[in-house]
Amino acid sequence: MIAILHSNGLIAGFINEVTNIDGDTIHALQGGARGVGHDVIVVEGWTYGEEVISPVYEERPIIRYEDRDGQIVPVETTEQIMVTPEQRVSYITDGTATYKVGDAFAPGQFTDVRDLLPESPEQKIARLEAELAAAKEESLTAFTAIADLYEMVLKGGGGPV
Amino acid sequence: MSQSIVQIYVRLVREGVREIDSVPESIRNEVTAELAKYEGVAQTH
Repeated sequence: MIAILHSNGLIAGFINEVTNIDGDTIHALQGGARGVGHDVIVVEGWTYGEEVISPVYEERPIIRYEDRDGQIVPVETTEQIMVTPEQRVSYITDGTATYKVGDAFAPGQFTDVRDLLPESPEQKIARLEAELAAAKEESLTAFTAIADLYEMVLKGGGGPV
Repeated sequence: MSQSIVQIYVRLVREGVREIDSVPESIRNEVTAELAKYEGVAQTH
């Protein structure tokens, strides 16, 4: 599954191979993110990829000084300057549509499937503790009812209470 | 007296749902004895 991080209608990033989301921490097979400040939607059926954009160079004129028979003379030449470094642009695609970081994003177009993610150990402990507390409360309620019934029978039978 | 109802009162007293004084007199001694057993176990840990 892939987590789409978005804010203000724009895609801010993707996290691939998400294994669990715990509060504002997203766990993934390779890293994840802690303290995520964006809105998150977890999607299934999409493929994550990275497009490598080659660096852009420009030829710029420069003046080089050369020593010619004892005379320093300026020589016009050019050199390549990198104006844009190599970039890696993350994207997701389902085979028909492709979304890149920075693209417009409408959350309503996606189905959030985070409920299908497995629990983290912490979430499992919290859930089991809650279930245990509920079961304990339930049994105490039943025991209280039995005790009340027992006391009613004792009173009804005229025995000491 | 049935041991089951004694155990129910033991549990209720241990959980603070009932006071020992509110346990029916007919089983109070048994409940008190069972509670003493639990306290003895608790003190060994």
